[in-house]
Amino acid sequence: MNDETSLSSLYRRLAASRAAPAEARLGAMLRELEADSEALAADVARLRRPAHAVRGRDRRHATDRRVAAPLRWISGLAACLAVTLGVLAIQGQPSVRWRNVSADVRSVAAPAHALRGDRIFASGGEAAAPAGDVIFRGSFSARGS
Amino acid sequence: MPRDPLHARLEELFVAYGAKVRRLLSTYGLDRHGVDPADVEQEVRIRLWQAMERDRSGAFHASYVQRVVATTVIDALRRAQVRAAEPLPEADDEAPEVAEGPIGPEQRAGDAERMHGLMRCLGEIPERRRLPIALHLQGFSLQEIADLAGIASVEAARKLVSRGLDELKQRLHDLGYGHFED
Repeated sequence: MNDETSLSSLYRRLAASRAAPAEARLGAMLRELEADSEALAADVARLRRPAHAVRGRDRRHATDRRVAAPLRWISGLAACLAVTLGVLAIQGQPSVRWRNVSADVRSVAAPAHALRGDRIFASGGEAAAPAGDVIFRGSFSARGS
Repeated sequence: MPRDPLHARLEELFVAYGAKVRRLLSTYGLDRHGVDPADVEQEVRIRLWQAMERDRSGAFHASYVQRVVATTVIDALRRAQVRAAEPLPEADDEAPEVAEGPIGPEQRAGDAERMHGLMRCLGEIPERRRLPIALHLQGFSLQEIADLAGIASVEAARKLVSRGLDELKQRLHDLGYGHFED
């Protein structure tokens, strides 16, 4: 780039001149002050570091104590609940799980001997009819005669 | 009441730094712009101390220290402009004295003319853009410009510099100084 048409180059020459504007002087001064600013920042950080370390550690411990006690109780209760649910689940487990039965298994009519002792079906037989029922016997026989 | 050693040591550091700032203000001729180096020195020390007290756990970066100096000087320049206690150097009347270098008399004369135009055009640019442009032309990075000029972000600094440079070039062109590159 041509030095004559370079704005940066022209401005730097201006900043080096006696008639430099305040902004140019300030910029140049800040450039020279960089090393001192870094040294000051480093010195301040070094002086303040021990105090910060102690304060930071205290704060973390205090926070831990405050939070740790409820967390211990909550985790204990959660563990008890998990154990109780586990025991109940094992005891109340059904012998047949319907979701394990295959869908294509056909239903088969139960054999007659299997129903013999069933009171519902047995109620249809003669032996199950009440012997002393007068309402049915009396009214029908009277109308038919 | 005796002060604790840490407090005393920090104060020593700020005093030494303030003294350095004061020397540089005179060296770079900012006192000629109506800035009182003693006032700036004291103000820098107070601001640094307050910043440290305000945020005890915060990091104390070099860029922050530089920014404190920059803002203190800028505030002092503004006060000087408002007050106009001392006559500021007249840019239009005083031709810049070009630094001695390996250039011929003709080029030196042309340089002086271009510098004159540059100073005039810079003076016409709004203040919020002037410092970012000046820092950019002196080789500061966008991050440094944002830190020093108190601009919220690097992107905002980039826009200020970009628009400011466009405006500066346009003004120089309109005044007949030709076309300039960055």
